[in-house]
Amino acid sequence: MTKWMNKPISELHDALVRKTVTPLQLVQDCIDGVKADKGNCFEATAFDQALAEAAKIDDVKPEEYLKGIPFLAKDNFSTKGVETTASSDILNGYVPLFDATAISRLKRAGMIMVAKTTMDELAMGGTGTTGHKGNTPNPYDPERIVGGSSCGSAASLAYGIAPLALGSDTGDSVRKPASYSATVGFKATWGRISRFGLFPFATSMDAVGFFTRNVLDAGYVLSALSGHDRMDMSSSSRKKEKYETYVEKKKTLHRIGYFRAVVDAMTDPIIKESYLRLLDRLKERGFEVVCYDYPEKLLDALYPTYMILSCAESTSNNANLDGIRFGPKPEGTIETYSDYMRKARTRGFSDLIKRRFVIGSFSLLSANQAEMFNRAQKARRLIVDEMNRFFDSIDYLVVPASYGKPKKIAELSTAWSLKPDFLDNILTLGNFGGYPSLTLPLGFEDGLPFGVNVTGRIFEDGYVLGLGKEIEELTGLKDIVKEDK
Amino acid sequence: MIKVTKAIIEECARNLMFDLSEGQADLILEDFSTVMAQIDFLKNIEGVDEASEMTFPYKEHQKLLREDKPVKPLKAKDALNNSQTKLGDQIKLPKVVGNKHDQVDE
Repeated sequence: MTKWMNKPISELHDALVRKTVTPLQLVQDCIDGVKADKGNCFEATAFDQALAEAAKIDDVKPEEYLKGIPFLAKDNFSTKGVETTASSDILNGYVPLFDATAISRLKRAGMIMVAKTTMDELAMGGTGTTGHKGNTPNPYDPERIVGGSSCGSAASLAYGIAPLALGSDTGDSVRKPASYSATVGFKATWGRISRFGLFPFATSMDAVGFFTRNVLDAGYVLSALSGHDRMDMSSSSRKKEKYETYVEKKKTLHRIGYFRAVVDAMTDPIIKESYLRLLDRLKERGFEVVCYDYPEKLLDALYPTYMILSCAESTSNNANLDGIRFGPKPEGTIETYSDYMRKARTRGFSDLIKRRFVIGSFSLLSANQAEMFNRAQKARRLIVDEMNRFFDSIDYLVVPASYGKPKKIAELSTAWSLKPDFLDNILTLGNFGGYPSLTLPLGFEDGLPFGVNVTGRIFEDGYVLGLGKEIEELTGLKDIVKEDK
Repeated sequence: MIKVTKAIIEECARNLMFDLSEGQADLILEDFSTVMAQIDFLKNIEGVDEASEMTFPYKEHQKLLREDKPVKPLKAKDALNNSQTKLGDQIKLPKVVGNKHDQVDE
């Protein structure tokens, strides 16, 4: 167990201001945690850089909330001078020449990056088992998944190795692992945080996200990350806010909605009871809680719509991985550049990734595009239009973030689901509509955590965090670290 | 719509510039039976074909004029840093043009 890194940012900040600890000691504590790596959480380290940065910091002022505090980053953020592979063999040895904007903004706030975390290969997975370094299991039960694709970030926060880890969220890749690891996972409004330097998976849905262990820390981190970036054409020029004030002052809106179909479909009695009790307690706090009949047919459409769009977009986004400008050189006799590229890609991508690319490519063939890719885009329109009707009169959607215990790794299947459970895919609503969305702990079932998710209107990120704070107070679940037995 | 066959799957893989390992085309063919069932499901959603395609989550027009700012270009040394095949100041490639079999299928 680390001495400092299991504490919230607020506590570390106070200690730095009072000089009861130095940035160097914090970084060393984080390094110790990374070295002890209990759950295959790390892809690469930046120990020397981190120690050098920490040594430069003399003192921390009260208003410099994040200064001197270590953080981790998922391995799909470009990091200058630190190998970045997105957990794929195709990028082995690739060392970016620049920092992603998310990284540089945290550094500008004085934070210190210590290591890069494991992920599902190229962020295309939800289990934490498909990266080239093998499984990153659930800290609460190593036989089960912690979820993905931001598996290493979620698990390392649960182990108390750092107080912040960056992730990315295209379907639910931050918010689902947060549910399985008793951490706080936040995905900002699409366009609120620059994606420059984040390896794209499905550009129309990708968002920078992050893990903390309480909601106030999430507010401070969002303030540091958000804002327009001229390097990202999808970055919004709307004015950034001080998101921590929404948490400190518990600034919220009034009407909370839930879906009747979700409540009817829930089968896990413990999660269902915890969720309904939370809604009751929110009512007691003065919120209006209303039931909404979101059409079940559109909920059933979430999975196929997501899979077709994400496979198609990823096929195009990863076409640049040719093994020529970066990545390992293919072996054997190579006669032409296309031989080179084919051999590099054949060896560099796992079979699972190739399967997804083929499905994406098939849906983009000119003869198929109208019936596959374009139809999925149309289904997305219906899904988001209905969600926007919901938000016409209701301020928040509150749903469980997971609906049962995390799956056992030995029982995973890579096949597409014939009859997918919409509960497993409901967090994709946040990506289809670009909404801000927060997962935070709700309870434990047989020692395994489960979370609750709050989604709000676009650019109402602060209000989402404000309600998160209310829920955090009601559950009393914050700053949770998996204790060593 | 093109019927999914093993040959089509292999063609897609060729266009994507990779080879499939033994048995992968069959596995993908199995995947497709599920994928196509889900496409049929989407087709049957009321109003789907009348809906407009959604590419990005929301529309937000921005009126920004980016100023031209001089920046230092990437140094050749840095650009070459991640390539394992280089010659002098350039990335060295095998023959690039003139091979019939290099033409990518449409």
